Amino acid sequence: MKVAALSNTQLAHRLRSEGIWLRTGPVVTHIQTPLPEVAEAIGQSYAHHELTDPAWADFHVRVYAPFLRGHWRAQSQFSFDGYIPFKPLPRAHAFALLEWGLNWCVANHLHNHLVIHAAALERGGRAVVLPAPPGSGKSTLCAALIHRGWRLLSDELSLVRLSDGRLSALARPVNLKNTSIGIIRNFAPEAVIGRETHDTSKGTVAHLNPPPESVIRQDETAAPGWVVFPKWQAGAPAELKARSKARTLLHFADNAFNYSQLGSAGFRAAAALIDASGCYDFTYSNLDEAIAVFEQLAAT
Amino acid sequence: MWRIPQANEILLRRWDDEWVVYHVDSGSTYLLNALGGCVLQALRNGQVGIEDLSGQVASCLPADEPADRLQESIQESLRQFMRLHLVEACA
Amino acid sequence: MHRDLVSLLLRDPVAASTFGLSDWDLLVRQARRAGLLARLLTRLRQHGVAEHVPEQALLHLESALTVADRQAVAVAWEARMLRDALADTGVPIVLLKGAAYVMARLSAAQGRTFSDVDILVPEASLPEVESALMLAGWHGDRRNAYDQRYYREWMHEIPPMQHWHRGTTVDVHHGILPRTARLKPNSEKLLAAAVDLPGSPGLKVLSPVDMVLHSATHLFHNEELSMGPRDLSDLDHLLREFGESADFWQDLPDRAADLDLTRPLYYALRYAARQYATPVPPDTMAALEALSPAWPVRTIMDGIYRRMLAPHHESLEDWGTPLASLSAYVRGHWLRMPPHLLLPHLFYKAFLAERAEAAQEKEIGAERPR
Repeated sequence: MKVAALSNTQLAHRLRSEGIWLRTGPVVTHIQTPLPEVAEAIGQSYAHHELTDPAWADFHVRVYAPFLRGHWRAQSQFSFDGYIPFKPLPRAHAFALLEWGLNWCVANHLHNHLVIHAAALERGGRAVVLPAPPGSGKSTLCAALIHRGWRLLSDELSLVRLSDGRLSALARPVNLKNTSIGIIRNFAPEAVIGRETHDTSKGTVAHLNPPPESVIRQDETAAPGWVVFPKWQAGAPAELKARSKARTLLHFADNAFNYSQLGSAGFRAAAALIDASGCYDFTYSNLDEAIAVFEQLAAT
Repeated sequence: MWRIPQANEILLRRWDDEWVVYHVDSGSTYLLNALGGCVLQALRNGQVGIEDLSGQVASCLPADEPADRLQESIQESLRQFMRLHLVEACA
Repeated sequence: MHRDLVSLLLRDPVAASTFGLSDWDLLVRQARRAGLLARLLTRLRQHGVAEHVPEQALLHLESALTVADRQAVAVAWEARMLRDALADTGVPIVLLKGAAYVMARLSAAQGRTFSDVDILVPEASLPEVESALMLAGWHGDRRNAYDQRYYREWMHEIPPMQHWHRGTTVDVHHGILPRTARLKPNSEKLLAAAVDLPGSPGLKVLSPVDMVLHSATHLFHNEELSMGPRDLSDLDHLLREFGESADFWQDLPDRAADLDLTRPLYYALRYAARQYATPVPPDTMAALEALSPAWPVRTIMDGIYRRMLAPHHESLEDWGTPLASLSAYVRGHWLRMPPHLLLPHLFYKAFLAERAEAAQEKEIGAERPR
């Protein structure tokens, strides 16, 4: 059964009581929350996702409003089965907190994959991995590409399977910030974007729904294809430049959440991904031009 | 004589003139230039004296280096690798 | 309230064949909280019953073991770095707890997670050791004056030191209990009986009997019982492994008496036997029973520790749990600090520490989600 099969009231009620068991790719998360606005956001962002049998969940999480001594404004807290990995955030950011928490669960516990801090998209059976520091325009680019023929695997976490080097999909909402929210609304009028939250540590944040097809095909893995480091630069023509593979490996060593924990398996997985991928730096200023370059890339 | 200690496991990858080495025991990952990579590569086959080492490194390197300069550079590499516990001197 | 599936499986791995998927779901949750996920997998494999683990659960057991195995390598490396740093001082370094189990290749190292490295050195060598560590790249944590004093004068440690590059932490002890504690085990005796680690000159570990006593003391004098179930499981492993030698069970109570650690040993054997079915010889248990506390105390202690030594998961909480937790916390401190020092300390920890931390965090930058 899909989330959309439940009415808002039913969904909110379940989340308040026994919770829901939500599947995203290879992961099942048991979510509970008494907060109605989070229930609403889940209903919207995860409409096409599957609810599974309560017998099993990989992760059990809660988002709630704790009573905290000394804090006069309402807060929200994320709990991983009784363990609290983050400091609380203002109540208004509760859904964003849940999303970060779900990322944290995967990054810290899914050690049958190398988990890289990068977006991953698929085209023609091959994956493009897009690592980028915050503020580089990666999420905007990613949000644009998934409305121009690329399938969303993940916006934040590239999951490289240790057993065969293929990339797994999570097909979860895409985090948009500030001006990119307006840009994507224009670029893709069909995109479903949730409520905007203001005054987060990153400015204004909103969540873009994963396109329905990416959810339907969430069990399809992808072979390695390309690693592209995007950088938005005012006035720059869209251009790919070959990038040192050795330096790319160092970057992954630094930016894969579980690289240290995986030891030699992590090194091998990262090296294999790079070996099998074209590695590029990419500068651009115009989204349409960027899309065109990626089209050419897909054709190679 | 120089060698990689027996218990030391290192993983090496090479792309063109750049190498990356992973040192299992310390969990450290290093980016190396052609010289460093060739030195470690040569030491993987067992302990080596400095002359043999120079010969192996010379054939591994992309460009030619004058022999005495090469030996000096190799010594410097070995010193750095020793500090990182990647190699050790032996009798 | 649910069953403690973790202790059940550790006691009786064959029971894995009776578990349904939802049992595995609960087990993974409890074991994760207890820090025993990896150890469970090793135990199941040893008994040839790992095939009963469904693949969804196996992912988590294997992930935990991957991390534990990697940490063991990291700890061994850290021990080596410490040895190199302190080699010139000539001070004998005795590894404690997890690092000792790894370097001595004890079964207690299996499936265990590690964070800091703990070492024991003679009290007189402390300044020299601290200097040598600083020269080699460790530095004291940025702690305020109160915590510095707590650590140096009242506890048995200089504040933990962090390595600037590796980010690893070393806790340097000169005793196994604070100077201010009620019991006064003699550190010199422990150091004198320490044994060399083959293959690692300069590093030692406590003798088997002392290792057990240290583990028992650490567990039953500590206010931090979050690793209670795991520490008790370590004890179970140590007792089984060392217990194969006949002398061990005779030496253990004698040495405990000599070091004034009979009470923690009594509790250690009692609870390990109950929770993990550790085979303690009846004679040994009887000898200790004779010295055990009177029944009201014992019943209360049983109540506290039955809850605190089970995994700290909501599925195992009952009406008594918050009280058990608080009692264990207060008891831990009570044993480490006399009352006239304890109250101001607890007050500080409860109310002022947060403010001091907050002030520090503004400087350092607290962890926020990305």
